[in-house]
Amino acid sequence: MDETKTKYCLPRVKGSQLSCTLVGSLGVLLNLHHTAVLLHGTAGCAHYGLKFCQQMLMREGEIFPGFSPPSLNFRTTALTENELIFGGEDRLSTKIEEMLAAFPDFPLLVIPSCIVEVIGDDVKGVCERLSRQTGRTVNYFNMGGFLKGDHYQGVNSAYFDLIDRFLKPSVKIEPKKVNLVTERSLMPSADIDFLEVRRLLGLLGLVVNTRFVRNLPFEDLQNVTRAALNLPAVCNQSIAVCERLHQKFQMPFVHEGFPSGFEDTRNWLSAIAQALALKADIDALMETEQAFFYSEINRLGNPFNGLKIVVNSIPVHLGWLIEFLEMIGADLMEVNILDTGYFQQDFMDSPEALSCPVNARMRFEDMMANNRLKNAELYLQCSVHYSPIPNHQPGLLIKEIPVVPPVGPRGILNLFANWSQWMRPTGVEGWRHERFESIE
Amino acid sequence: MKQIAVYGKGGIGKSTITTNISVCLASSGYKVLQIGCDPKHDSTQMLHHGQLQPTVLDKLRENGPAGVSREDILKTGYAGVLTIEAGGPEPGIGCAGRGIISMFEILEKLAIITKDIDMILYDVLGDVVCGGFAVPIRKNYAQEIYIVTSGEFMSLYAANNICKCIARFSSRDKGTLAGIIGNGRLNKSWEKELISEFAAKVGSELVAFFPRDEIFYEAEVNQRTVMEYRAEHAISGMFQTLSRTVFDSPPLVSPIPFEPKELEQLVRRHG
Repeated sequence: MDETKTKYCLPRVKGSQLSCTLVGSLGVLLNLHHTAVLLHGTAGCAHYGLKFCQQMLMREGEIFPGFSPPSLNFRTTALTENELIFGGEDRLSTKIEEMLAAFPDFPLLVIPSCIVEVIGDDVKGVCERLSRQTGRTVNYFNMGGFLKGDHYQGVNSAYFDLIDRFLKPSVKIEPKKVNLVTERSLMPSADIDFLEVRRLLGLLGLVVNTRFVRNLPFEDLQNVTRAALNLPAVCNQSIAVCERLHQKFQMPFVHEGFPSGFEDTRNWLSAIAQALALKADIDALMETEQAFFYSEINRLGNPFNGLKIVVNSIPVHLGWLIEFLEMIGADLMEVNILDTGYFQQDFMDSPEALSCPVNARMRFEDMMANNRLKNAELYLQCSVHYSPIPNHQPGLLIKEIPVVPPVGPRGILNLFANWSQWMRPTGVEGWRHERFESIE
Repeated sequence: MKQIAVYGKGGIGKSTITTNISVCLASSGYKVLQIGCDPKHDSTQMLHHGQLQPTVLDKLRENGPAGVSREDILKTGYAGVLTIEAGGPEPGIGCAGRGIISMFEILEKLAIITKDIDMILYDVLGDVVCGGFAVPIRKNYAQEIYIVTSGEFMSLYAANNICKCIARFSSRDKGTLAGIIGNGRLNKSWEKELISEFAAKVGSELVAFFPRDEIFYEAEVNQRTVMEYRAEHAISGMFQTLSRTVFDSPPLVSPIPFEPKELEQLVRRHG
């Protein structure tokens, strides 16, 4: 295993809830359009992998209008016990031939699961033989299932394979074009966040070259290296992919992920301007953004002003949330961090700067007992999908903190609108749900 | 019913010894079943005068789990010995260990192991290379294990590895190693003594030692067991004695495997 693939990944911790490399890589490769994907493994692996991707996108019905489902050109060799004992190479050959016939215009991507690695099928050899025999390229991705690590290593492995095998140096660099790298494609907010990123880039006179690889046609992979700069979506994990692009094609990148809130956005825009040597008045841009933010919350009315709020979270980054609560005038009473054992990153830039207590809670019961004593008017909690904190407690008004922070000033404004909707009594005249589209 | 398993390095003579024990016991009136647990599926070949019988995994591949019948896989060989061959994938592909596990599942499903069988002998592939080949050692199958070895270092090394596996599956109060069977390959006077010392060192004993003899080769060329080919030969008499020992059960122990260095020293001392 290439060490750089694991450099920015979370450590494997006993009892972690991360999925396997297969699912991680599927989450990437199913985003490529105009391809056919063959999973060499059991039907269960295929079902689990595909369902995971679909359910991440569809949970709670949060489907953005631009939502496109994972590729339907997806098949599996559906290995049974017979293939495990006698080898699955014959079945793989048959299935590849079927898929080449069924999808004559698409490149075929073959992804093996861990059981195939355990029994030692020569998947690469079969793909190479059929490539020679048919004159069509059968692309083999070496994922290895649990043998190669966890979800994040699967994500990185897929990206690294794409970079190493399908990207070519560009003869011409477009100075005003940038790539978005490793967007969180399994999040329903990915495309909403994209609109805000595109809007912010537009403020600097930049346009998006490719979304590597969100909804990217396979043939457009060759355009990736035309961009002048790569922008990682997530500050830790995406960096490894950006480093690989830099190493192979000398493509520069910024070290910040997509920004959330105002301070992050200011830093992100500054980093981009510096990397591309752009002359831009970032302070003036941010003043305009803030002015719009305040004008909108005043227009809508601000139900959070002076509201007593307790934040319960797992240890994920919360700096953007604290900034947001300050901006809307909330009375932050306490921050409780539940130690789940596997989120290792710093959860707050400077918790000591807060005027309220920040408590590490080892047990959910301690957290709830304390919360009830506080008499807060609103509890903000991490998504129930990612934490053991129940979001339905009798007598408590609870709203979910998105685990992936909303991007940019408009993302925060959307969150404000969403939470405000629930803070208002029903039937208030003139109230409606606002969506702040990030359209230029 | 008694169930034993015979382990040892590949080519050391496990099948030869197992088939001759089977013939001895069957000739004495016992109902005997010999199960070959090796993808080569040649354990019971001499009992069928050189014919290879259909294997459990061949039938599994052809017909699926529901399509394997008792008649397909259970055959009767010389002296009435019942025989089954596990079989396995082609060399280099698939998973033979998983095949052994599947075979045992099929044997249970078809209720082939019945109480009227007096003795079941499992003849297992050269070494315990994975969990699949350890299935016969686990409880509910063979209660007694024999290891076949010569005085060659690699054969003893394999025997020591098998001891490690047996120790892993032996319970604290009850071992499963019944004895070491020596199969002379070196034509050296000290070979029997070396194997005997190895057996004692692992906490067991040498229950039989077969010197190198042309009769093994002659019987094999004629596609017979030694017991069938030359029942009056001295080697046949030794098989008779061994089969009685096996049937009467020597004391069982949980072996204490060697450290690699100790094994080297033992061989060097004798060689």
